[in-house]
Amino acid sequence: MTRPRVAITGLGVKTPAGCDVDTFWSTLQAGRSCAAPIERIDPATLPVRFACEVTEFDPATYFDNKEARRTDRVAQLAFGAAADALADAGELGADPARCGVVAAAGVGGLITQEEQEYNLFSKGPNRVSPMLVPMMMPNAAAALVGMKLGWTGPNFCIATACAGGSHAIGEAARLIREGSSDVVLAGGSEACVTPIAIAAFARMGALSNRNDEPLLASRPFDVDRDGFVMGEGAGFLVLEDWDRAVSRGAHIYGEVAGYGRNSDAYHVTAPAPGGAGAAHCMRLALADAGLEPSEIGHVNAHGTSTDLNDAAEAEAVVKVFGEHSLPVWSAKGSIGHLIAAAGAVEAVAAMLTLRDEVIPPTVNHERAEPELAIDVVAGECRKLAAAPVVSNSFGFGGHNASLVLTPPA
Amino acid sequence: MDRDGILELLTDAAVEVMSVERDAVTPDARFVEDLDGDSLSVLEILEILQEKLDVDLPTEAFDGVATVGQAADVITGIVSEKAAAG
Repeated sequence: MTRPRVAITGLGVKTPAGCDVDTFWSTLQAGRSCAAPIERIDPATLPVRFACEVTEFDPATYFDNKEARRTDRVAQLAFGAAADALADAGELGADPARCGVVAAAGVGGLITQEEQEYNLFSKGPNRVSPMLVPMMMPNAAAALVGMKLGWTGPNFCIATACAGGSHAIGEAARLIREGSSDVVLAGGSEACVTPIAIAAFARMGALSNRNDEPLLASRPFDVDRDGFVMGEGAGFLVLEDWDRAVSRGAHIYGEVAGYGRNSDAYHVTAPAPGGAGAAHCMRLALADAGLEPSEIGHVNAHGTSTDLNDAAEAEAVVKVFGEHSLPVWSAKGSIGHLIAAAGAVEAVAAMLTLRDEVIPPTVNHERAEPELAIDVVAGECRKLAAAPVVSNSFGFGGHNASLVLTPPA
Repeated sequence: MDRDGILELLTDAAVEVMSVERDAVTPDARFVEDLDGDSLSVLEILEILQEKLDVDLPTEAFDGVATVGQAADVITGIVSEKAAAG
């Protein structure tokens, strides 16, 4: 018996580049950086005072006041993206018990947690909100999506830091392949433009500190990169059993054809030397898809704009595909690093590259580092016939996830 | 603040937390049965009142409280005790 194929039939995003798929995609194609001085909080005392924030999202579009009060921004962004993806997928006609949710979160409801920690330390334990636990728990977004839709199938949270979004899509695909779900909303969300998160990432040297030039700060694979730019947002995709998608006449964007995941087991924040873990992860995904490296059209890179990630990922790409052998693109030059949402939002972008046969430019990639022997798409969009794409996400903790996403066929 | 003032604050908070019509929030109205609340709604309302009144409202003090008026009685008692203690 052949294993079920997994179709992608709906896309939804809430991102710094736009809160609908069309705006998001045109911002990426325009090669525009979304980094700007932080607005949601006063960043005056922070070492890094810019980020890629979601400025167009209105919770009232999706929630009444009662629901909005009980949910952190991270869950609100998640449901917004999930609801949009569901609307895009059209009438599913699915049994709710066969519908699942897999949602990645990096830190959960950190905005609420910080507010309540302030209450604890300044006013005492009796002033801590009774809603703190359900608002801060990392699985809150997965729970909210399931509850709002009445979907009673598998529902869980993935917490593999920056790799979460890709893990969520891969694990969701496995639910469909194993036959335990017909439809799964898979994605990730993050909302940690908060004082503690900015301070902490800055203290470890992970963030760019181009406070005077935020637009130039996120520069994946560029020789002058100095760290990532904190982003926030959410991305969700509707994954569906291929045969049921075809029989209901759904629009199919493409297929989750392969999924690899492994662990560096090396260092809590630094990638394994030479990108060994990442290379093996991509090979696992290719094997799962039954494809050779030569059949891949381009790489949708993790490309965070940190010194270590970009060097290791470039080395890994060379190991798997050879030097300058295929185009590599990172969306993070435009939208920054959406942490657990990154892999999901970038998978949405990958489906759009396949649909329109065009790869957007890697924003701010001006001078390639001579040692990084990869072909980075930069400056302007590049036309490319639709072909399987490898989409990478790598997280603190050494968690790696690679997806092979293919055009509909 | 007197009981009427506290009732007013409770009404504001109930409207905010439970998305109900203001007219529905009478002293006899029960949080769960009449105002579409749940086990967390009263706690959310008390959280708002704590901020507004700058006073601790321990959850245990509200055991057995079902209506808006009963909540107002308990809060009025706590506020006047605090005022008496200076």
